[in-house]
Amino acid sequence: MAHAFILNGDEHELWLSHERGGYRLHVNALQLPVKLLPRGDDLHELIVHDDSHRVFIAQRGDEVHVHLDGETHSLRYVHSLSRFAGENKDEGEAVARAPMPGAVIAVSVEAGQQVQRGQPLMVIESMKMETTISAACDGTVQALHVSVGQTFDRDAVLVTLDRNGTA
Amino acid sequence: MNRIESTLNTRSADFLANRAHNQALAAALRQQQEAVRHQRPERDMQRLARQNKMFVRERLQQLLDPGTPFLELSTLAANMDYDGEVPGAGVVTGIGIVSGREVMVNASDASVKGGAWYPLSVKKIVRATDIAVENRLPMVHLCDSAGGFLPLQADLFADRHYAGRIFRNQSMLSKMGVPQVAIVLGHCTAGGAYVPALSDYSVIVRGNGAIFLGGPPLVKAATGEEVSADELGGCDVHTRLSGTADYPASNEHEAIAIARDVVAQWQRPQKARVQWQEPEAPYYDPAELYGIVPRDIKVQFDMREVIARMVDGSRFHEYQPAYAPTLLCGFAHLWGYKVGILANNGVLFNESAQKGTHFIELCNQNRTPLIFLQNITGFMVGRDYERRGITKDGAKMIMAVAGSEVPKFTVVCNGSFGAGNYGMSGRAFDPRFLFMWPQSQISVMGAEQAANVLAEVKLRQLARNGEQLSAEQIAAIRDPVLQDYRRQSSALYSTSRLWDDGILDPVDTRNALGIALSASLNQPIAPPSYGVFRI
Repeated sequence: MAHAFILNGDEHELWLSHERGGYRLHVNALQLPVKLLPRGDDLHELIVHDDSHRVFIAQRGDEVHVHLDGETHSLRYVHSLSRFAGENKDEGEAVARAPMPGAVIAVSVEAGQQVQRGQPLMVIESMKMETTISAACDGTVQALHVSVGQTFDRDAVLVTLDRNGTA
Repeated sequence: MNRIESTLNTRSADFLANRAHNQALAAALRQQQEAVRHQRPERDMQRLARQNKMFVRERLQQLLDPGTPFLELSTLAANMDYDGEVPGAGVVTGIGIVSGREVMVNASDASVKGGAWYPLSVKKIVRATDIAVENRLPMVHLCDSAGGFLPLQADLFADRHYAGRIFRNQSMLSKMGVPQVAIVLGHCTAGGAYVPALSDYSVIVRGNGAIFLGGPPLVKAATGEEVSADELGGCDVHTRLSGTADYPASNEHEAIAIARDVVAQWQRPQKARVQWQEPEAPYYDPAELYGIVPRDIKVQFDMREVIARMVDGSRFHEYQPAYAPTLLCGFAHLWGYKVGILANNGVLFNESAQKGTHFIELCNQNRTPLIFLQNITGFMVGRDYERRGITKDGAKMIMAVAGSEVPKFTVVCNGSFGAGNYGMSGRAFDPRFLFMWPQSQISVMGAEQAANVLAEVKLRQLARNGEQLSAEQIAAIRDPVLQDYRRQSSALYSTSRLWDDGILDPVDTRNALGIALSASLNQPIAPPSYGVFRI
């Protein structure tokens, strides 16, 4: 499974393998012997086959800015884990369930309200702890299954979100 | 270390005829492998596409690090069984690189009968797990199997090395601290359910992946309960409720990405320390191997010519060059690794067996892995040789081979007949890997010898009754035996039944042995120890 980079909005699959005295860059069916030699600060010497290029490279997180032949290119590395993570998670995320038996002490949303991922939905009390139940995804509150003061069992459905209801 | 001086005449008629013969065999091998790997009935491929499943070859391509070698094992398993309808026995196994680590891969091929386990599929998976245990290789299982092939269950269920052995070996790997990850890409039913359950890590694909002891039809028959595969043992059931699987994945690509990330967390192994130096290509062209091995198995050839086209710089330090010349012994480097080589240059005599025994002890003493290059018709027979103890000398060699602690690798280059197979580390002696060359033959004796022995027995029976056989009648006894023998002693038959780890194109032998050597060094090498040598 190759690494993926986004360059100008297009996805490219690349891989770097070891070879004697350097590296080999795999681009589709093409294999190029490459070397990248630091030349102080952000300046590097890039050698592809036997051609030498002067490049400036600046990295911030997964963004890499490359200045080559008078032009600046911005590359973004996309880890396979996030690249292939499904858009369509299971219903589980749209349903907030009780992690343990307890009682509701506060409700902070109402049905029909739009919520964002991470937004508090309600606070429950159980085992001498107050726990905030938050939205696991963006959506619209479809139903509140419990109200303040009500008790519930473990795994009881507390709030159902409609993920298609996102404006 | 001196370079071997090749005396091969690459322009001789013999060389050219041998080359044409062996190249044709290698081309046929590649064509057969290509068919096993890629040719499937259209409807089976359409079924996979409909189910939103990748073909096993695409899955492997995603799993393995790009541009790294994959030593696929037993590519032609089952080629002469089940009417040739179960390519590769429906399983792909081999050693590859995942996230920079050497692993053994066991991948179901759902395009073949839904990935059902035939007896030879089980044998192939058991062999892969045996290799993992012997060489401390972590494993990646790509699970997508309909379960045991029920019409043949008697040949795959109950015996010691049948399906249960897969789960036993998985448990042993875990006990040894060798990690495994299973990716559940389809159904894992009945015994197959234990493959992910016994793996230290498991990933399951939402929708297609399912694990259950009894599938929906069996549950309906047993208790009347109607339940869908997903409700019974799908991704959410096992990652949220039962804890049978560890990581949920929304598609095959994500599942493989997660498994690669799991493998990336594993500790890199400490390799056993053996002599190693910078590798060097053979001085002589390995492609000349095609012209060395004779087109007629009865014709003798010099194994030095083979060694010269396999080892680093074609250099070979020959041990006892003047003594017992029918067994070559000596040191060389292969992909940089120091190895001891034993190779047949004729029949094994008393002194050849003694020389071999001594050399095996030397290699165990100085921790040098052993390579056996077989072209052996057997130990010498006859009154003189028995009186000089050919049987006990052979027993010495077998004792040394069996007791060897250094890793052993066997390549059947041509003939492998009789007890010579044992002395030269045949399958029963647990070489870490055993490969065959395409034209090689393996049997208790040669086809013609066996046919003659049987005809001779029949003639004597008849002679006692005063009867005689005509030439045609003798041929009628000999010919069917000869044909059966030829078929059953062929490399294709051997590899169909997994008597070996695969047929190699001779020019690939150096690379295959390099990967095998590297894999074997995950296992520490114990100090030498043997049974009682009959002196």
